[in-house]
Amino acid sequence: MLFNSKEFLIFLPLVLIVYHNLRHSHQNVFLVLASIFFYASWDWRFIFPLLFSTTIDYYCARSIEASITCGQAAAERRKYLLISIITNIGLLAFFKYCNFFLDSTQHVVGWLGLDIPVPVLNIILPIGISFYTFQALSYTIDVYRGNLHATRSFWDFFLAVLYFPHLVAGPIQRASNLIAQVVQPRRVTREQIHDGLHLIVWGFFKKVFIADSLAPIVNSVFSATTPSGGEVVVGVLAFALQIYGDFSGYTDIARGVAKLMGFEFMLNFNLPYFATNPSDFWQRWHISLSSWLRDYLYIPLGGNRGSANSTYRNLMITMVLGGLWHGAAWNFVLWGAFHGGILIAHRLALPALTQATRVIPAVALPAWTVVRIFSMFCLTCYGWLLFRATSFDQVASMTLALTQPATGLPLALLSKVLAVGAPLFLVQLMQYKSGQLIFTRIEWLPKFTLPIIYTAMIYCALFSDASPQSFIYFQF
Amino acid sequence: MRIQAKRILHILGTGLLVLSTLEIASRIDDWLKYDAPLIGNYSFDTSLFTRTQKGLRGIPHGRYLKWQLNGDGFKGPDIDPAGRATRVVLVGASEMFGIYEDADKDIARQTEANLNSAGAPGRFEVINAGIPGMRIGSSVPLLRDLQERYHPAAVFFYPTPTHYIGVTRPYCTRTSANYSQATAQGLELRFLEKAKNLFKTTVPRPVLRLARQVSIYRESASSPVLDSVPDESIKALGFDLQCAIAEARRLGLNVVMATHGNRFGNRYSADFHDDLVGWRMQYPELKEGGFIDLETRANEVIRQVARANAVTLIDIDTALSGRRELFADHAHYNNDGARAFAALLAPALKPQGVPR
Repeated sequence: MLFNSKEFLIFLPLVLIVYHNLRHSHQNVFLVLASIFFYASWDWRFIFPLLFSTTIDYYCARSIEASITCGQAAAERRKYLLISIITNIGLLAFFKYCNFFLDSTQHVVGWLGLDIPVPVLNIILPIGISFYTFQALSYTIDVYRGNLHATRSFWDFFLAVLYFPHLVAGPIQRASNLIAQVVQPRRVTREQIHDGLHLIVWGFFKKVFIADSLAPIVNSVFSATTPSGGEVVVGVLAFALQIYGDFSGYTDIARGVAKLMGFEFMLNFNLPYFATNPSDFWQRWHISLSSWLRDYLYIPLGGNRGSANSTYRNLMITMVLGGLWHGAAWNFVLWGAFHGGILIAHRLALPALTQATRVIPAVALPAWTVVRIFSMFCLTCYGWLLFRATSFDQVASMTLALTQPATGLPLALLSKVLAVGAPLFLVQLMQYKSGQLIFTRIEWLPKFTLPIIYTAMIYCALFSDASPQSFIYFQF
Repeated sequence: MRIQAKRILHILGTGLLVLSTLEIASRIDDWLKYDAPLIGNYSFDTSLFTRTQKGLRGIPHGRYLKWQLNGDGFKGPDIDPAGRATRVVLVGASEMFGIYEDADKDIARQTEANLNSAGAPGRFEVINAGIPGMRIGSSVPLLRDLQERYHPAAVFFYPTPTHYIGVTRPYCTRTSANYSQATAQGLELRFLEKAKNLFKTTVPRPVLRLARQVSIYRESASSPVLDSVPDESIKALGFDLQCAIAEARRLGLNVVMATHGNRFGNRYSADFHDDLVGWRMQYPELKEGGFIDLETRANEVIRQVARANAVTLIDIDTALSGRRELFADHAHYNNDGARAFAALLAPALKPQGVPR
């Protein structure tokens, strides 16, 4: 059941009506059941790994808590933590990476000239497994670290993991944030309803009008055998807008739906294409994942506490694994390595950049900011080429084509990409300048424009000719 | 009191802004996608067709959404009157015009492709003279125009039986062409048409069925509802066919005709009641079961007329009716349906015109 499906248009109002007519404890049970129904609508078999890992995590966290309360040795707690980690990572490895490693092994074996048959398993990837395993892991790790008390209620914990708005594509909620909201009775404020509806409309606009309209252009460029430099430029630009519209659109809808039930999800996107450097980008793009990787991988690896070299190593490991998290394919590893590389390069160049910023006259600083934003956007776009490509050969041929970016520039396609992206750019510029992400709250915006803006967005979302596409991040 | 008035004004103002935005957005959208005029009427009936003294005609270069007419007001590529190809004219209503098919996949285009397929001698040109709403008995003036301009070798008639619901007097005997299509007048809200289409494609079937039944009930409340079409109507169809055949032969054209195909076959079943309700939306005065009965009886009359006049008949009803996968709705073909139709039509047309 996609957010942009007829089924969801019936499902959501029904859930909201029932939800708001129940007592708090019943609300939680109802939301768990509704979430299971939502998830099972893809494939009922997906329910089993989800319930299995969630049940294990619940008991592991309870055991860790009991161990702390009884004052047992840390080794006892670590045992339960390991069970939780092995269960979650094991499921993820089996469902998501098993065939990837078998396939890679097959290539290596073939390259070595050996004739060893490597089996390929027929595994269906449960939707959203990367999201819910990370979410559940954060819970047991936080309980282990003593940052969070294990919840007693099985239903409450289930709801925190299974809650349908974030279940299949995030944002990856921290247990410490969500469980507190699950346990406490929720009151929906007027402001939450306003912001929730705003996010839903804006999210649908980004998904349907921007992402789905650009999908055919992206598909045509990335399926061409030898696209020209101009076509690659347009295709990559279209994909940059598509993936942002798609993923941030999903996140906005998820956050909006959650608000209508009194939940507050963490911010997942904060104008990422306005980032001025790689580090800034990762504080704006998929924030829930990048902060998860920071807290549960980068810092435990040592973070930036050691030498410069160990910091670079930790950055690269984190980004490569972050790339691999997105999908079981080498291009995602390459994408992660690329971002690791530019993060390291930025750290190396930081003193020079700081110096440059100091010597630039105040009047030229806005232009300097634009240059930095544009440079970072170009780097991000090249990263998207690595992300979207389906083979190393394609990466190589497209990279080569990019050396002549003006060759064969398809002006009609470019104008369509720019026309579709224009509303997004305008709104983001307003958000950037005002610092207000709920852009209809911007003070200088005349009140009478609000019905016009919302109606235009609803029109574009409803009557866009784009054929509905699944959300890109569902595959992860 | 004053606060309340202010609130009402605020709500009314907001409502007006919302409606205006929707209408303006619709018009800009149509302009961007289809080059539609920003101001003025834009509808299937008014953008593609016009009433003339000789009846309804296509507007040269008329465009509406995906449909586009050529310089002579017909669907399809431009025709050079001095061209040397053997011409065949397809006369019918919306089924022949092609509502659901892609531009190059309607019956005319696929028939032309079949006729000109590799190995065939000479070249054929197929003119799509289908005009939605046109009765076969009203096609006589059009036939004369077509003969005068293009000198076709053959004509194919595809009559639509439902056009004779409520009709007792043949169209052929009337002095002026009489079409059911209404000409849009006054201000039209384009957004409403879009909203209607969205409603039709997104609401669950039971809701759509209920909405249609309410509409049918309202439409038919003031007039009697028929279980089946009276015999005079079927006879009027037969008379019109005779008339069209006679005129075509007088003009020196070879004639081919076909029985009418539909999605349901010739037996009523509750399985396709919903689709029949959709069909009844256009003719609320006839009950759902009456459509199947009408098709069966009309096709029998078409067969009789063909036999009596020694006209080549393609029994589309026997070959295609009931094959649901070929129809986009009750009687209009999809790309596959048009292909199946063309595969039957092309071999029957070939002997009718010796390539020049």
